[in-house]
Amino acid sequence: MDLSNIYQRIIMQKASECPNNNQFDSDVHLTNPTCGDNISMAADEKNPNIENLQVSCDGCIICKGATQMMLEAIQDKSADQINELVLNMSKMMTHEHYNEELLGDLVAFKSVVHLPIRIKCAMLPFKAIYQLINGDDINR
Amino acid sequence: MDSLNIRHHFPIFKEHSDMIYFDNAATTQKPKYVIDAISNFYTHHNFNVHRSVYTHAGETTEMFEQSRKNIASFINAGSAKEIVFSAGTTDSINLIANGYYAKHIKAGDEIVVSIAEHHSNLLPWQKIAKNNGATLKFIPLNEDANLDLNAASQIISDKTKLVAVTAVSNVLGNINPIDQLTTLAHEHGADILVDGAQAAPELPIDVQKTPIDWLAFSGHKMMAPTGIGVLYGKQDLLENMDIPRVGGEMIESVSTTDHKVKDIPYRLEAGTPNIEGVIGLDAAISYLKELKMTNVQKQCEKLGQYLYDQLNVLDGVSVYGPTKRQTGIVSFNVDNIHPHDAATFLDSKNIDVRAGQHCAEPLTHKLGVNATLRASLYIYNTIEECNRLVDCINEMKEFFNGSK
Repeated sequence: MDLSNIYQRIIMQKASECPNNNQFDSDVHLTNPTCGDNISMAADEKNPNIENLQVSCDGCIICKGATQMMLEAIQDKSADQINELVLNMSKMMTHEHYNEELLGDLVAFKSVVHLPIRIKCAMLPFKAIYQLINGDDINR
Repeated sequence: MDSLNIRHHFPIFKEHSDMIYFDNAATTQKPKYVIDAISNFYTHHNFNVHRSVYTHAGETTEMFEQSRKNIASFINAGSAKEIVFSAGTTDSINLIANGYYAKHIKAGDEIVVSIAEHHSNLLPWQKIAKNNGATLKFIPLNEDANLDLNAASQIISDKTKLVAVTAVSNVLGNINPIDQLTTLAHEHGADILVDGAQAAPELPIDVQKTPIDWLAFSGHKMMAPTGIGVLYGKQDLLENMDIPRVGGEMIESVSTTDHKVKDIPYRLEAGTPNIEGVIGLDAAISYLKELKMTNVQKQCEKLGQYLYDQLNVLDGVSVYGPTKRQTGIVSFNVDNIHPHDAATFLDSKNIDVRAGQHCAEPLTHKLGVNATLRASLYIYNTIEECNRLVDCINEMKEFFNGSK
């Protein structure tokens, strides 16, 4: 296992920028019960566009890096476009065909598929934003 | 005790010769002696127990019941009747909670546990307390991270109906003062249940010398197969347990409208039992007896203390629990490195450690963290493996933090 493929510089850098203040009432709060990764999200409007999104995440590098990079990827995107992003991220994690261009820098998480137990770390923020928008879990 | 010699008894270490296996509190590896006993059972003695008149089945029944006697003797139970087979510790505690305390705990009663319980010795009591209108009380830890006996003597009162504590914390690795807790519980007319999941593999247990009322433990944490566990209960308590399941094997007679059940322990074991598991557990126990439990305890304590001392002097490493180690379980964290990232790094060095909350979320939060790393060592681990872990932690600090 080559760790530098998993812990890429961009992921480690973005993890250090991930918001972790938890000073708001969350609409969505998700955890990975085995490891303690957790994320909270709240927004004034969710659909068709997210307004005043607040996010706080505490967890491992993979989870925090994914949260920060997702936040950057969803800027100025509509709810539909975010759903599309979440779907492609999920496909990348399950070895299915996905739109690489649409994921952009998030392709850095491609190597996480080699660590099945860590996929849920990378997917936690994507599950949270999906729930925030749609009110239920991504059905995959 | 010679770890290197012991390692030769475990085929998995030949298969994975570079692996450092430090997750023994989750499950232990199996010696060839146990694997052979199970193989021998299926090769020569695979017959159902207790129900057939032919000689083969009779022999297997004899092996099965001899195993029960050997397991009773391993914990010095007064009678083999007091040994009920279960699927594991969780199953045993649930059987006790649902079969006995669900009907004996009344509104206003109190159940006392420690803050360091594994979820399997917490959730059943949460459920009973909620359903029956009882109160669940927690014994805290003292400054040394040991169970606070002074607080326990305040908390345990005449309202207490049950004290349910683990003998060894699966996170902190300390041995709880079961002797004193038993005396305290009994002085107030309460029962005491001991979660022996981490104790049975490492410590001698004597349920008459320390007259606890219930004991639960798992086979797979003491070199036996998964899916077999033990529920020890004092005879009068077992006789007052509701029957958890009805069906085959547990009856004296059946009419179209009613049935008469057998005596304990059989009436608590409906259906064909896990015969392979029982035979495997018996073999694991005779392997442990050969090593002698006092030697096993010394070896685990020595390894745990060595690893603790090595980790404790490292910069940026916090080790949890008492400074004086009593078992092979050592939980720690490395500054600025999440346990999950640390475990992935150590995995890349072929070191298996656990990262997370270890099914003890209230304790993890009490320690002020979201998760910890846990190295849990057993008889086949070595000082060299401890040193290798320390070297890898130094490398890891450089990888993630850019400094040793």
